[in-house]
Amino acid sequence: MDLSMITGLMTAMVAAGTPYLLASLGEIVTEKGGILNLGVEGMMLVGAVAGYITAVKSNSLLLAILVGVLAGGLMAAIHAFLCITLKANQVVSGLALTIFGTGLSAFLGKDVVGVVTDTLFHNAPIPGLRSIPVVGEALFNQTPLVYVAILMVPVLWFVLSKTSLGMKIRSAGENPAATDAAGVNVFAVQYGCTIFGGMMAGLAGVFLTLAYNNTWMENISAGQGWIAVALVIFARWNPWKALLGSYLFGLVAILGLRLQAVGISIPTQLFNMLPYLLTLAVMIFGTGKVGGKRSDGAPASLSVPYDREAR
Amino acid sequence: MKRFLTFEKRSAGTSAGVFVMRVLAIAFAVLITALLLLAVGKTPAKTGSILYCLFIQPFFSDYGIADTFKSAIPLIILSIGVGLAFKVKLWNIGAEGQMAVGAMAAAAIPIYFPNMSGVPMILLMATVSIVAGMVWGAIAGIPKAYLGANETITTLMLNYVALKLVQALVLGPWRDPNGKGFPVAPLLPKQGWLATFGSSGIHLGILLALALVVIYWFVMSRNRWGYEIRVTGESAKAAQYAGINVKRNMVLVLLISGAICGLGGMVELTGRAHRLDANLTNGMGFTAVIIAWLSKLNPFGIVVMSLFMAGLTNGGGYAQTEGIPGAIATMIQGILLFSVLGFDILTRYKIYIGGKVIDLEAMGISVKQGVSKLFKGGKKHGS
Amino acid sequence: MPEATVELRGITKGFPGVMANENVDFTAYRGEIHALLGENGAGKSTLMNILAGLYRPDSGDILIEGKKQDFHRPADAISAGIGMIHQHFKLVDNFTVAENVALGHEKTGFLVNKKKMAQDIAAVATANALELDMNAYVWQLSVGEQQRVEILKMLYRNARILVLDEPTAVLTPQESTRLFDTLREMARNGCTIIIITHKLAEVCDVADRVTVMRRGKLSGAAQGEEINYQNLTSMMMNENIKIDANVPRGTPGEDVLCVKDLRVLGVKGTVAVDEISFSLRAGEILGVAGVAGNGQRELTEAICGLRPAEQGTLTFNGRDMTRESVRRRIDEGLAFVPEDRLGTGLVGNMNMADNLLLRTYWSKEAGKGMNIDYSKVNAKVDEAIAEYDIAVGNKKAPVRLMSGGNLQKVVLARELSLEPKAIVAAYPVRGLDIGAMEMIYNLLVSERDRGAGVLMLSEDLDALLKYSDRIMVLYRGRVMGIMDKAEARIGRIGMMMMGTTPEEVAKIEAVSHV
Repeated sequence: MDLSMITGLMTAMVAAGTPYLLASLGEIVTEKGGILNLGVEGMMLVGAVAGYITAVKSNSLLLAILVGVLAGGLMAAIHAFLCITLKANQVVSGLALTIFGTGLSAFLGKDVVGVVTDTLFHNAPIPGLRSIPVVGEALFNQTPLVYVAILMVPVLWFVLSKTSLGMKIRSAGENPAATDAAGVNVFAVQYGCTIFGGMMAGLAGVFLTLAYNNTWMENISAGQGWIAVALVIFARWNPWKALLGSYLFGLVAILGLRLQAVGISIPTQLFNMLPYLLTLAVMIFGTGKVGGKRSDGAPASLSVPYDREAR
Repeated sequence: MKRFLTFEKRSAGTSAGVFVMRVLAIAFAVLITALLLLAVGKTPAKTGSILYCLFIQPFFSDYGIADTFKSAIPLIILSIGVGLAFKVKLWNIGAEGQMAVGAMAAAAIPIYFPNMSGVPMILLMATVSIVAGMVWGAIAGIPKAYLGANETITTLMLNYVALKLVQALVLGPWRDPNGKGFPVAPLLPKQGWLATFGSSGIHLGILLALALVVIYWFVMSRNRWGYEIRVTGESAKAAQYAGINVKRNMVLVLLISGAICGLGGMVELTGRAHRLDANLTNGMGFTAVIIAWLSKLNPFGIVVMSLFMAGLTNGGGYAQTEGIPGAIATMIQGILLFSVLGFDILTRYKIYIGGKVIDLEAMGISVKQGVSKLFKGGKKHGS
Repeated sequence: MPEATVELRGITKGFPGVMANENVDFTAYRGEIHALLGENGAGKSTLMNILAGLYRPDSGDILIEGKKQDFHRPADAISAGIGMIHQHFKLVDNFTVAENVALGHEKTGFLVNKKKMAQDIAAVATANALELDMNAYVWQLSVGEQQRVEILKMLYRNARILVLDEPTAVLTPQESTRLFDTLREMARNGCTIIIITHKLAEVCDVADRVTVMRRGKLSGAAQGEEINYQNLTSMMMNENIKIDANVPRGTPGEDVLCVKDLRVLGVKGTVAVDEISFSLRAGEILGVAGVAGNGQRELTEAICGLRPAEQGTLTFNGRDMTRESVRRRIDEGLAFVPEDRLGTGLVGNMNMADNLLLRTYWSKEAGKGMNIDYSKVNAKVDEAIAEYDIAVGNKKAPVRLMSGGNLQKVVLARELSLEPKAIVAAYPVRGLDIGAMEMIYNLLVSERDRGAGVLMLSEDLDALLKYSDRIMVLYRGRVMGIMDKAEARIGRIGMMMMGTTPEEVAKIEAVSHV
């Protein structure tokens, strides 16, 4: 294995990991605010198809991004309305969102299946940075959305841990009653987080159709939204760890294909199982509650509907 | 602190209230679907025939009914399994994975013992599928009871592990050389197929499904252990007061829940799919979660909801003849779920909108009274 | 005369079925610690919740620092300088002290400079003698420290009037002392401190002025020298109740339940029952008096097997039962009427038949083999309805639809059907009407006459005196004393409930000739 092969592998890894990263960053914010949204897969699909249709019809990449992101946000708004305003069960609502999104995207996208468009993302190498050995090419000769995803990591980390907005988000997910008592509008915070999560999933979808697969087909995300949900747990709600995790999951996906291509027959599916097994182990052995206090970063009130009148 | 929209918590709704709510929700979903179809440019006539395909054909035509029953079999089994866990407030969303390992374990039998005769083979397949499902349940259940590991997340992860395992097998050692390149396991030998009723395609699995429904009902309404489960689900504090071992029951419930879902995988394999592939479960485990929740864990409600969801999926297939993608059924399932979820708040809260109260209980009661008045034939009575 | 900072005039507030406050006047002054004293349910918390903007009064005026105010929400009260600290703290466990204080405050800009934020807040803390590590996480803090965080939160928001609801309910004696030191310091700095309490001892200890409430009305006020036990007791309780001699005494037999050196931990891991020893005899009612939260719940739960004993032994019928299961204790004849009827004693969403089964579902009487025989159970339902005169609309309906009195009758019907040798009854008449109360008490008396030992907890001292053969007083998880009915007096019990030892009680009585 020579250097160019490693570079090639890493480039593919970063591209494959980007939808995971975008979607899981969104879900981190959603969950940090206390709302569990299992509908990432559905939101991603709707974002993907909305972006693709817009690209085909308008030939405007910018408009396509906008529509894709908004579509994801709208999907999340349904979840927010049901779970925050109507206090519905978040697990069921999230599953419903995935089912709905799968159907809606196939329905909307039936006219653009197989339709080609030139309105696609192209590699936009960053001069200078791309000549860093090994990682330069992988990280800095990619489509712009890859950079957006990478940039979002420090931004979100900063907002969540260094600003008063981040404090409000975290406290809404930890203890909504205390947050409310401190004069913070918990409902607004949770709506915002949930919709932001949807927008990021929508962007991940746009990446899939316009920057990665360069086409639309039914069920194009093929479970990547679910992986993003798993990643959030794997990353323990930390954007930096989500970055690592996304690329790790991306590498695993790519490696499976690559090894197959060169005729090495290790069961790639078993290989693909590793991230889930790892997440599972973290969940089982890392739960370690000491006197009811956790240090795993999981928001204490995740998926518990907040009801001001309840005592 | 008067706001325009306020919710007032109330105790759980009565069956009359829930019935009214479900009817409202379905009507609302049909309405939204119709509006959506009109909005995307379908003519009213076309919209009508699509709605016919979706909501009438699967439930009222001969072949539609047979199809619906066939598709409902695994859903009923899985929903019973999931429902048992929900009964003690354990969010087992791992039915998909438990079903997959069940089907996988069952599929191993004819691969390694191809010469077994029918009945022993099927019994052995059932047994191993139960064991496999149980193991999958235990991996989530034991850490939940003794370490407090969140079962929603562990069961979700176990779904992926199971599906990857199946994929690995059908791509690798179990791959059918005559599979025309598809990643599938070989067809089961005929003696390993569940018998069907005539040409309907409805297989013996339906008896098993209905037996499970009856057993579930019996255990929950007559059995001492079922009583423990009911008390535990209602109040852990009361369960402790009643001398019930809550942790042991948690593990037990997840074991049995996994076992039932595993068995569901075997039934789908031997009854309908007849060969293992990675799409055998096809999201049914998640649908079961929804069914169990929507039927409020009532076993007969589970049968009705399973038939409804199965019919809706099949209806999407029929609607394809009207020139729309089969996925529309999936979308409508989603709309229906949102609608039911949204209306469900009426069973938990009284809602005040700008001073007016919406009280489902009262609606349910007036509907009940209206119905009973109809039957009493206008008999007058005082007070 | 210092400036009046809080003036409530003619406050009236009704809830469905209760008049919580009736024409109440209340005045507090700058720089004082003002105790609002009264029994549970006297209307103290309602009055203060009105002051804090949580409730709106039906009528009456609120004047803060001389200005008339109309509070619509808690935020209005906060901006008027009123900070209320509730019994249940509203803090984010995974946040530091500084983060909790700064959360949602406009002084906190978009960018959070943790260091500066901590310094600012620490300055406020130091000025008010609130010792706290700004960078400690709330989950690392003791309850007393958490309370300090709540106080700091209010001061940081410029509260000049601080209302504390039962501030010592969750504190150790040492923490209480410390809290009062802080409060005195804050009063000296010009704050008005109002504490809601029913503990006489701490009122005598700390208050500059006292307002006493009874049954929603003002029943007295005191300041300076007037603040003493006798004075306050007479304002708080109705001393003029005659002990009804109509209830004949029981004929006690042998010990049926012996508790020795029992130590039990509470929910938070603190010692709730501290080496208690006593014995309950067959054929007697042993009444248990004590202010809520002094170990009663933990004691009853430990006796009945719902909570493990850390130390000590429980002997029942001469057998060691310390480690036995709940089921074994029931089978041996130990009945338990728990404090919360719905939730523990009964399952609200189940019908009467299922609730009658709750503690016997495994027995031979309940069915054969693995299954329950509902025809038998339904027969029992009918029996219970007839025997205990239970009003039930629909026998199949969930019991949560029944009234409190009928619910308690269902609990008793179940527990007494076992013909128990001992009955632990925790607040058996709480929230019931007079008729139901009478019936429940009479049932317990007839059980006693049948030969059962009854351990009865109650908040109602009059009833304890009337029905008990002996009375035991609990204070901070310890037995302050056990006295025979003949020597029991409300005043005596009241003082012991506040932590006065029997010897001290005797001294006080000798001086004042009570």
